[in-house]
Amino acid sequence: MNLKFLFVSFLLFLSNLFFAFEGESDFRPLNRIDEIQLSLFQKKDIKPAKICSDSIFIRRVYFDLCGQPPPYERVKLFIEDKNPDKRNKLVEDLLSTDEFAYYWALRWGDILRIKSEFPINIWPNAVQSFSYWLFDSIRENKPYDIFCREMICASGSNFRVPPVNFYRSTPDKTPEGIAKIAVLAFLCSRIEKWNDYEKKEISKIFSRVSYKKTDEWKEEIVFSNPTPFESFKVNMPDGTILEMSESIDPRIQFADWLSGPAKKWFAEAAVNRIWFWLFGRGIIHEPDDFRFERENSFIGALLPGTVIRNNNKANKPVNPELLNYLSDEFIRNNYDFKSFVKLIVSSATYQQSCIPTIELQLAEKYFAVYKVRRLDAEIIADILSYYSKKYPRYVSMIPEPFTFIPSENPTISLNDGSITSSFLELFGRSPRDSGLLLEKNNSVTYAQRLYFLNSSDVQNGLCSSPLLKYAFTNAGPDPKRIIEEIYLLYLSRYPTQKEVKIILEKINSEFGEIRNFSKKSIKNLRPVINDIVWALVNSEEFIFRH
Amino acid sequence: MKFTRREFLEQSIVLLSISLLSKKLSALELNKLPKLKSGRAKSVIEIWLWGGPSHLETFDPKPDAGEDYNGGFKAIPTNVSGIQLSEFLPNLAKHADKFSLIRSMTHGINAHETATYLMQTGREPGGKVFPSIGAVIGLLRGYDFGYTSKIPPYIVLTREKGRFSELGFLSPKYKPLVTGGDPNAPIFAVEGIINKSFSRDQQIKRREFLKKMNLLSDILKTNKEIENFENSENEAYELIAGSSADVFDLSKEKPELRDRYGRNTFGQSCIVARRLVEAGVPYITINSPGWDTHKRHFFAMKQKLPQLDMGLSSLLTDLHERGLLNTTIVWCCGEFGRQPKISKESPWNGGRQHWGKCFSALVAGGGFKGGEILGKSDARGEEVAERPVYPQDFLGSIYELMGINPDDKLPNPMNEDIKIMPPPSKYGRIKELYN
Repeated sequence: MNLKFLFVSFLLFLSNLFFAFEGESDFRPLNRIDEIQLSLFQKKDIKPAKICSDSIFIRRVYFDLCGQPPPYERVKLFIEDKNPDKRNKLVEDLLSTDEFAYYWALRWGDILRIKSEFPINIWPNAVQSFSYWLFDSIRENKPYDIFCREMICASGSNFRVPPVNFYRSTPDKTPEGIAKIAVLAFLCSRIEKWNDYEKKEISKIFSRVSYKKTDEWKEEIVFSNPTPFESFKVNMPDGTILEMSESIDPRIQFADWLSGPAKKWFAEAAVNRIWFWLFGRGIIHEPDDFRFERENSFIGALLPGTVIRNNNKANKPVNPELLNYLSDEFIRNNYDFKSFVKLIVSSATYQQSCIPTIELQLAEKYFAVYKVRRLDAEIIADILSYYSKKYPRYVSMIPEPFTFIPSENPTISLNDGSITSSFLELFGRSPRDSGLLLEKNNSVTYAQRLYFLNSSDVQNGLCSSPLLKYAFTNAGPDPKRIIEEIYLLYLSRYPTQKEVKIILEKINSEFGEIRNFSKKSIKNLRPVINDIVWALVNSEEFIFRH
Repeated sequence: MKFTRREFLEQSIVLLSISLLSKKLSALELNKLPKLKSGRAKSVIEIWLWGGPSHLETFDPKPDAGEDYNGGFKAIPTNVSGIQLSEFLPNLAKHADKFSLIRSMTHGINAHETATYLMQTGREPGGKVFPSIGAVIGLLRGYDFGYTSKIPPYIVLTREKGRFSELGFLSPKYKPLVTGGDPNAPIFAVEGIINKSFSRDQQIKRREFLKKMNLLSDILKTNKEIENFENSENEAYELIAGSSADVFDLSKEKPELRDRYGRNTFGQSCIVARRLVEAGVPYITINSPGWDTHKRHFFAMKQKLPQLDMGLSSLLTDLHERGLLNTTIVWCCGEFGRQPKISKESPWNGGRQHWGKCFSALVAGGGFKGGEILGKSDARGEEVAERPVYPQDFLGSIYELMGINPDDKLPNPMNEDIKIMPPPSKYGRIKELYN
């Protein structure tokens, strides 16, 4: 005990400000991503950030992969673990959790606009079937091309064939309206920016999509209706010409085109979006604004599969070689989603600290740093529940049977955009109207600061968490150890020497010099502890990914 | 300098659109707002009767329609001859000269969400989701346009509507401050602003400690998100530890006046609304829930209407006595009315269902006349008989009285050419009620 204490004190003595965020090692390639990045860094004369410390890593991957705060006990075990491969092991573990599937289904739910009503009318029953299909697809790691194909080619009842709800997730069910959401979801492109000819052509794919009601309340059948019984051709944006016979369902041809001639675009769009979710910025940015230009739209002079990117700067990949490698790898690996996430997360590029060595904007642009950004509304709600052990209540716009969320279900599992709370609205959850990634608004507002600084929820729930008691028991009577446990509990890391000093000064100024705490004095200490915890949860570190 | 054919074309298109646009702009300038005798309104108080209040028991009584319709309840005369109100509203009846009634509101929608959306945005659903009038006025009369008060420009008492996103496509920056808490409680604990456990001094002390502890901001000074976090915090502290929060302190009001408003959440919300108007807040919403009375309708009316009657009549007279009514619009309405024929059968047992075909609204102050009735319903209050008023005309008029041209562009993140309001219906905005 004494030895350990001495060791910790020694570490604290060595520490400086950056100790909290950086490990000892410099950027050193761990996989192919890093080699490609490193050659870019050398070309641009960029010095990447250091590799983050273990504490930062565990906090980061918990948020980025599972949308959950890292459990306090697990943080300590992870930091103490001597296994050099512990980071990869942790990632393996997290990829197989339900939380991983919940969180990625939430992200997909945002871009697929899954909500019961207004302005999109999927209706509660169908929202449930669609979301469970989505959750299962992610949990069982359905290959991404098949996942998309199931939606594209789906026919049948909205209650019984879940992916048909893709065709019901837009208020505009004309061929043009459907083309808009399909292009956005599968090609990450905004059809508003296509020319009229291209819009008209791709819309033909969906000209046979039809809907009919059944006797069951709110049931709807999506099907391919071959009338008028005529064959036609579709000139795709890459120059491929799809021939549709009289009776064919053109959507099947579309799915074949995506995984055939257009697979590069299809895969680039997918990997770039996943990259955006993990880094807060796409290699092409905005990630759902892929643009292309053909030399002559009316002839399709290019070879199939070749898409020339527009000259527009905002739309070019910052590292074309990287995007190329990632999409090739994704295709080669049969669109294996989880392995792909693992590939990124196990790279040194992902594991950089958030402290840039060069000018910040430049570092963020070239991924020479981990970009700090506010956590999602749903994650913050789960953080509050984790500490307070109180669970939020949700309301829905419409009388629906699924508003009750059992307390063991995290907020990230909320699968209906119509079920909400004022908290989620305050923190900018996605309204699921357009399917654009920027709909989710993670910017900080004064009202959010008011909530964190001064609301009863934070005061009573976060600051006097039942977990604190547990932390005190772990710490024993030494004030420094108490401070350490509080830091581990709330920020998943040990405090720096400077932080310990500031806090001890505060305690001493309010209580006189104290060397040992008995249970009784901890009780007296409660107001100061409250202040300390309050300050920690109000630091950027607490609600920012870093 | 040489132009290729394509560049030349592009250039000429740009020039052409600029010239077209400037024509359009000058046309807009010509389209001036109607003149008002009393000057422009500065603030709006919206009293939203969430769920759809019965027009028969409020502003459009039908004493001759028979018991199947009026449930045996009567109408009473008001201080304006020719205007009758429901017998549930005796206090408002004494001040009918201060407000006007529209008895021909209509949109025909019987679903809460769609009807609320219509009554809050003036638009049919589908396509983009538009912001509510409160969020729009909060934007156009807010910080981007010279508003400097520490109190946010759009305040909601005390809970949000819940089934409706106020913001539409606007950024969360324009979200209303939703107070939470209860103004009828000993301390009106406005969520985030007024904290019962800390004095102002303690708050300041805590903040100093917080500043010392914030490690990440020390390291990442140039990060925009961190900078935004710090700025938001500064704004938040102006409310927490500054004097602005006094506006929510009802202990500064005379107890007799508070009694007059009614010692309940609605009544005390009305008095807070008046204080916010005095502080220059441009848009205040009071959401009053509980009007969706499918069952036991009359039982609910006997509870709710006396509160509405006291609160609203005291608000109007108080604003009037302080000389604020001329510059403050008060409007009171729900998303629709209720079915005039009472549902006596089980399971309703004397309830009223949704009714979007015909309902009533109250408007007062800020350039609206008092003592007038606009439009008429039929003998049972089922259909509009005269002068239908559609949501876009109703809301368009509120914008006009606020000095905002409803045909102007609404600033929006997509930077698209979107107008504040869709064009008026063929019946037009409610100019008959302008002063």
